[in-house]
Amino acid sequence: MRTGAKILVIDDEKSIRRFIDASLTAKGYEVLLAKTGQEGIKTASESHPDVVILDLNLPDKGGLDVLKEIRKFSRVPVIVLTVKNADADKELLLDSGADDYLVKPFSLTELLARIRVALRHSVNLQDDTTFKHGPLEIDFGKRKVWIAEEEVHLTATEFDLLKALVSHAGKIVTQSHLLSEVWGPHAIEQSHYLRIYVSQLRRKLEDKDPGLRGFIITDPGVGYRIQI
Amino acid sequence: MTDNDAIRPDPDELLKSLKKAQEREKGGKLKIFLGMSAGVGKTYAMLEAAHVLIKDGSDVVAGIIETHGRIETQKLLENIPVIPRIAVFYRDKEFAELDIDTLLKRKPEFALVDELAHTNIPGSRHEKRWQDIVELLDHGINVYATLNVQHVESRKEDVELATGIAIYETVPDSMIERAEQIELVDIPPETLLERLADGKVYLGEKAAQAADNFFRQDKLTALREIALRFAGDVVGNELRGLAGQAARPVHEKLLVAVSHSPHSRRLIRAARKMAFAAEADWITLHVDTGITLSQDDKNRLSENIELARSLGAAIITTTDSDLVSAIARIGKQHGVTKLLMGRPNHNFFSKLCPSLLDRLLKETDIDVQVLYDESARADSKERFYLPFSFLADKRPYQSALVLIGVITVVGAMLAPAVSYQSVGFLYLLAVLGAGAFFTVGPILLSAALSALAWDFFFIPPKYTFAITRPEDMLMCLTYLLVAAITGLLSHRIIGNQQLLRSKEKSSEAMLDILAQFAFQSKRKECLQTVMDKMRGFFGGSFEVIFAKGGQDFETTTAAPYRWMSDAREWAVAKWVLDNGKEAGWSTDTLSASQALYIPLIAYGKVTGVLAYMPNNPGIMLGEEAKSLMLALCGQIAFYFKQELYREQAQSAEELKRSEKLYQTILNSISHEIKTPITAIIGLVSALEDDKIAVDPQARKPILHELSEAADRLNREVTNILDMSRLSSGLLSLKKEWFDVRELTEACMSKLSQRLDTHKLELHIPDKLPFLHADYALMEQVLVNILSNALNYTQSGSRIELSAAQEGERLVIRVADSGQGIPQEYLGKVFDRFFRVPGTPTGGTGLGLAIAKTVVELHNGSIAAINRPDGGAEFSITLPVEPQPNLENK
Repeated sequence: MRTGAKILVIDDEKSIRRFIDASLTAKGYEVLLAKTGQEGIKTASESHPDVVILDLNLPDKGGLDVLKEIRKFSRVPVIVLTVKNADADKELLLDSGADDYLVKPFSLTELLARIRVALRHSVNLQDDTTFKHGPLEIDFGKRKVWIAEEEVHLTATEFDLLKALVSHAGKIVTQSHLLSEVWGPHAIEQSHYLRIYVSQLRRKLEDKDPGLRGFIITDPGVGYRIQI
Repeated sequence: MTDNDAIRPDPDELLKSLKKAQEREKGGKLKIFLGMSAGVGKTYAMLEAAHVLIKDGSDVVAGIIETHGRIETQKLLENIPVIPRIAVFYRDKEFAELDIDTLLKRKPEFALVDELAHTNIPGSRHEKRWQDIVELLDHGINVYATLNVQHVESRKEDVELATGIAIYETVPDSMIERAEQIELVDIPPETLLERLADGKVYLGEKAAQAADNFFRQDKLTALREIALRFAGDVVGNELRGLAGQAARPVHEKLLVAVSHSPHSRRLIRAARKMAFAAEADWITLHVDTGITLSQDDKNRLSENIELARSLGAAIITTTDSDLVSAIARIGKQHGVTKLLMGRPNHNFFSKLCPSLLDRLLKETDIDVQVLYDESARADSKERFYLPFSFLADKRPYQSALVLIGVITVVGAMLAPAVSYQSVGFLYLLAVLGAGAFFTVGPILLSAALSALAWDFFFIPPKYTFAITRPEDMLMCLTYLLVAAITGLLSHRIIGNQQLLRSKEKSSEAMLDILAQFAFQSKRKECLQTVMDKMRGFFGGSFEVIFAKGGQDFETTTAAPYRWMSDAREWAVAKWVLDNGKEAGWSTDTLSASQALYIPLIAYGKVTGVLAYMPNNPGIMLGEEAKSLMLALCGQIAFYFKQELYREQAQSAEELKRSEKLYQTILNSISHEIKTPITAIIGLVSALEDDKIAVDPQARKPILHELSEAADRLNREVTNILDMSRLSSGLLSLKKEWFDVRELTEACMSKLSQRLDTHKLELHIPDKLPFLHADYALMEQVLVNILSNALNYTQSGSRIELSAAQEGERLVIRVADSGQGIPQEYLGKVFDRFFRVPGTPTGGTGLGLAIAKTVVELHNGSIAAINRPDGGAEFSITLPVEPQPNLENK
């Protein structure tokens, strides 16, 4: 974890800004605050934050518009704060360039975990050819998977799916992203492929070792996330 | 009657003048600049008045101004914004007309519209410009307009008489009466003639030829007199209106009987003029004597009645074979004081039978005023317009000839055996028969013919018309008389019967249709049946269109007729809906459309529109059919209104119920929400305590409690929001394919902390079919049922979660080993806000209700039972859908 990273919080609610400011400052982050979307875009362009925390409901501009504005000039990871029951918005946001989202109310622990993942992503370690998590070991070059040193046989589709998930480990991957990456753009509506293959993967991985239970997390209506 | 009575205003009159004043206040005000002819400077006067308005800061816009290139007029128009005319295409030519829609949208305070009497090009919204102006006034726009006196409907004849020029464009007096102010633009005829000589008067291209004839001192003087008198009449009426409505001791009521005769128009106009001058109400009566009219006659009759209607008459149509008795009856019913009739023509028949006038004077106590009709006289070829319409159809005459011929042959065959007298009875029988089938003409023909044939062929000396014996002579003459009378009598009896039958038929149809309103409870079905019945009676096709609010229309028929899909027809319907006036076919508004649109008005509000598409647009609706249709429209409108009241009552009832539910929710929730809030406030104040603040050991349990209270508050608020979302009906299921195992595992990870205190057993077979359901909602169902089990069982007890396929269904069961649910509450646990009495607090009573709603949205069912070995069991049953195919790579 890189401490001292700059985090921009765009939220119109004073209590949320205060809570995040106090908690993150205590953890050693440098916190920038913005009350409106316009102010947020301005700060993002001037101060080059490492992570942006963006509230979906802003008085002046929709969260989506702010996100698009920021994306015009920066690849900074953006974590969106939403309320429950806005699945469609969430998916739209993720597909429009948001990196992750958090549903209100959330705990500090969750927020910190997401920030860590976002920061790690911003550093970017995608070129690894191997992945290790607990008893799980994956070699992307050889297309092989082991659990506790024992090889697990995956079909080609299962491996592609696992690879797609693991390469974004810790981060939410949307259904449409997974479907188009593994099956191709024509399969973007066939969400049942994902359901079925994910449940097969779970059987092959999670059931083998209790240490892997909850390895793949379903985000209903949005996508999947690898817990690390 | 005392003197007092004469002076005291009639309450009806007061009400009427009040109403008139109100109408004026509601709509825009009309000012008419009236002139005796073209060239007096009406437009100029109107523009000058407009400038006064502008100076006062009013918003004035010119709709139509005809400057005819006159520089002074053009100059006056400079500072007034002009609405450009709209191009209307007719027969491939472009015409410019008043752009009424733009004017309505622009909604100026005052609009200037020249030439009130102008006839619009076919394809415009209204046939006449004055109708455009009525629409402007109805929308609250004040209008300044110009008019020449020759175009005033009731003065048309006077002008024609004075100038000898036929007038085609007229404006009904009822329209002119709407004017708040009439300004007479008057110049002496000499001055006008001077202006004419100077070329300052624009006459239009066609009128130029007539000008020499028209612009003569004597004619102009006559026109000027008519204009002055008209203005005087209007002012006189106003004055009387102001004088406390007391000037009329006797309430006059005028009756004018009209037929399909073209002369009726003159009678109607004259009646209107008299009624206006006497400020009397007037009735136009049409008596349907049962004679068959040609289509032309029918159309002319409709036109005549329409004219009377437009001039403000009350229209009464009645059926009677005798004109005089009908007039007497209606006169008595409506308290008519004066009857207006044309001078009867003197011809053969009027000498034969007692004249109409004689009978009227004898049989009624109404004053009769006879109008001298020069044009009717002069036109000797004019057909005879009375109940007898001779030679309208030749066939009955031919049939009468054949009939008499046949009887003559039969008589000749019988002649050797019977006396010549008895043959006479045969002829009599034939004439009687003719009476049943023919109209008056053929009956009289057969009576005369048979007398002649009898004389010629049978009465000796045979084959001559001579009669030798005096008794034969007497017999033959008596025969002629008896035959004519019996023939006519039988005709009249049968005619009356037919009239009665057709009357009966239409009232039967009316009753039949009305009965539908009582029998059918559903609006759509009811209206559909009514439409079917009306179709059966009138022919053509019917449609009811009603406003659904905003721009939306709804129709009664499941699949609207093809003509209804025409956007232009819809536009007409919309116009009728907005303006509450008839339009379309056979009317003079938007008459180019294929169907007739009648507004459905109940209690002064337009609730919908009845559209009628005739089978043959060339045939006008008869007056009786039209009145029946209008009466039915009234009934439909009334039905709509009642329907609306019923709906309102229903929604009021629903509101009451939902208010009660709201109260229950408030009572239940306020307690559950306040508990964690109280805890949070208390715990936070404890944290502020100095001693606790410095003691981490003391702080820890408080923080734990704080987090629990916040969690609980979050759970409860989430439940309330979910329930309201579910019951809003706006929720759409987002169905996905998923595995039951995935579902159960997600639930367990969500509840992991709370599940630690219990022993959870999982029984999920490997080979279960996939579910096709809304994953997020199903997860919530299972979480709610599991937390219910956690809440109501001792910690350390066992909870069993199992799933199984049972036929076409998949069943998920959650069984606990707690106390079970008391038997009497088993059926109620899924009710909203229900909580088993005596159980610990900590829930809003919504969790299971949400579960039930969601499962039922998926066509599944949910049930609670008590297990025989103790504890409760909840089972969710969901249908198994055909499994999806997997695409293999």
